[in-house]
Amino acid sequence: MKRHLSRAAIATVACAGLLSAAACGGDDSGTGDSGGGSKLVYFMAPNTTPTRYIQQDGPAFEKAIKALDPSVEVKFVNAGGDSSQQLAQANAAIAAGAKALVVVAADPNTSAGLLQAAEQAKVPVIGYENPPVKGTLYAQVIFDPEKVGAQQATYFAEQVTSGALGAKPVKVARQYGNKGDVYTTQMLAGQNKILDPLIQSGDIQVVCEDYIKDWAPDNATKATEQCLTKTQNGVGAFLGFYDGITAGIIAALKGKNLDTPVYGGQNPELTGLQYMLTGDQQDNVLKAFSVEAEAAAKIALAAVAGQQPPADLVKDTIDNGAMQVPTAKLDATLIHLEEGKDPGDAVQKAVDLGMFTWAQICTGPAAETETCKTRNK
Amino acid sequence: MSISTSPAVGAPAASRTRVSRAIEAAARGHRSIPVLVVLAIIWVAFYSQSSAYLSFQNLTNLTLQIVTTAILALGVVFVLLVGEIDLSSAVLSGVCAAVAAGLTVNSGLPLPVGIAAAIGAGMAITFVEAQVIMFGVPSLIVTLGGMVILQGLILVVLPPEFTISVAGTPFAKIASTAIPAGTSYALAAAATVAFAAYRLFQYRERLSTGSLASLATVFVPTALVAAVLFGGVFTLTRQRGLPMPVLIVAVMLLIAWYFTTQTRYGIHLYAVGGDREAAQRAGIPVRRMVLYSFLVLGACAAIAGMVDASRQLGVSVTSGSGPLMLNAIAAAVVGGTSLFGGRGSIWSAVLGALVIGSISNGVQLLGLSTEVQYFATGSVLIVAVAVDVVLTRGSLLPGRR
Repeated sequence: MKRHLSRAAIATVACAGLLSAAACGGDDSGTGDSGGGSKLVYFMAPNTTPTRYIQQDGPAFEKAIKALDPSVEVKFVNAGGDSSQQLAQANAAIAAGAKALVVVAADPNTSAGLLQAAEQAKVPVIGYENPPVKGTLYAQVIFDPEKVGAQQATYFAEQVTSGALGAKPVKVARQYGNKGDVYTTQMLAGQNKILDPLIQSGDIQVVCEDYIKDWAPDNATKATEQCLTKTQNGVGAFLGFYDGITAGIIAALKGKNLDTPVYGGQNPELTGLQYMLTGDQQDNVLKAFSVEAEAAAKIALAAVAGQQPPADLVKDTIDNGAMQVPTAKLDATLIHLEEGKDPGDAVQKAVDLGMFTWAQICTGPAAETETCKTRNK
Repeated sequence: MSISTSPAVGAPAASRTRVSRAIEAAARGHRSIPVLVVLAIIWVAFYSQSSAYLSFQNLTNLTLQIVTTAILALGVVFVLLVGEIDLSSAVLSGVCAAVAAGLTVNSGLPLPVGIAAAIGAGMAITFVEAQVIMFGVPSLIVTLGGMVILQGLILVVLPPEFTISVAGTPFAKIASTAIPAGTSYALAAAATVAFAAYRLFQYRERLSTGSLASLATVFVPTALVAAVLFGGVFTLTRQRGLPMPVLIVAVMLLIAWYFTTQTRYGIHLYAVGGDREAAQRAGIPVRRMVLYSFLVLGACAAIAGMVDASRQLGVSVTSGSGPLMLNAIAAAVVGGTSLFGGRGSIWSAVLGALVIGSISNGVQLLGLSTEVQYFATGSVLIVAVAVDVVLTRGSLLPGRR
């Protein structure tokens, strides 16, 4: 019996140290009061890839909120790509007294449960970029993925028809996002709308098609290597879906000392802009995080105040399977390299939109480029 | 022929049996003690940081958050008990959910048909895995391969748009149904009475065999069970009534408890996990026991998948991916089930899930970063098992091997 007691004591001591470290190890932000008078807004990121939600959207959102109303407190959570984790986080946010949730869905297809939970608790949800669907939303802010796909394909089609990619048919290798993602499906629809006529007329011959698991650069590299082997390096151009994928393609091409042109960047990631400066990546679709975050901040504050969404921002509605969601559709900008021009002119737009600074861009592969020598002072 | 044992001889014997029985009882119960202690510490730590942590609303959230992990962990416990392991059941839960949702939502079949089909599919797949394992391929490899195959299968089972939305369908009722408070209390009362009757029956048996027993063995556990049941019902019916998933878990635990502790099957199960060679020689059908465990896991995975899909109101390619598999295994192990078979109980599934769920719930409630959650969950897993090792060995000194 005595030994038994000492066992329990061992267990207690062993865990006490550990858990006090875990529970009290946070910084001062973890006040965790039940949000009696404070206005609490949660920004719910989906995962750590792409990096934008952690590095750019989140901080930009907080900055915009603080500029409009300093009394509002913003908290960030990250679902690690797991929908049930995100549902748990939403429940925790509601329990902590959140007045509004800004949600980038970890997986829109399984996000209706989150919307239902928020609706029952009467907490408004603002969809952001990759919004939850099939439930009640207060409003949403998006860059339309279908439109982004169409922008990529339109520029690519111009290059094909103008003969910049050599004699027709141009042999194209296409890489898509993660199979089954909403984003992949919609972007593909946008690209295909433009490219299908060219494929039918024989201007474009698609030699490889790959879905890139988890949008991961290393999977894009593998797919590229396999495609080059299969076609004996007979690829005229690569068309990707996003900067991470184009980065994977470029890595594979560099490994084989090929300089096949690569198209289809978007988002952008730092690497995408760097590869534009080195001339490895032809184009990029810029989604201005700061603009999107600012719009979300304005809408969130209207939601907290119990007003209608600001009419100057929210002009459209989109059917999400359960309702017509008031939507702020934002315009993305396509930038591309031009023959005989400084690539810095194109990348300057990204800097002007406040996405990255020249100091950030001029590292790694771009550090030694002419552009960086002149612009990064 | 006179049986005149002198009290001088009888008393030490009696006292010795009492002491040895106390130690025995402690040894039997001790595997859940470290996890309960850990749980208590976690709750106190988070409660001291935020009073919202132990509010009725948050406790209901916590309960619903751990349901999927607990159901899957229950299946994993059965497989661990026979000394095998499984890595495919989380993805299997997604596949089964896709089968059930596809049949009920897209093909319009009645819900019971969809549920039966999903459980059937889950058991069929684990049946095949078990056959390969019994052929002699290690279970780690079979289920690792199975996991990858199932990731492909879910893409096949789902319709071309790779998602099934179940919002507003009968399927969504699995998770959203709430049992009214009155019925819930009646269930709790019935369960308490049944438990008391069972303990009383045991007590009478003991008396009849002439062994020492006191009525405390009836009253104390009954009071505990009543407290847990009524407390649970009181907490969970604050909002809308007792959530259906909680009842599903309770019923599954009850069935599992009966079969593992009250039947010959249960004795065989532990025997196979304890020493396969000895069990084989004792005439226990080892292969069949392994197969049964995997079939139980298949059914558990199917139910876990359906409950999860019903909670998230949809099935997609990500269903069953993510940390679910490792959480289920971790829950079973934290709860005190040995990875090497033969030791552990079905309660470990729910206790372990509760520990892991309590950490992530608290971290989210306090708005701490995700990193903290990972650090805490990983450390608790290791510490809980280390404590278990210490308890089993009875000393802090390293094992003498």
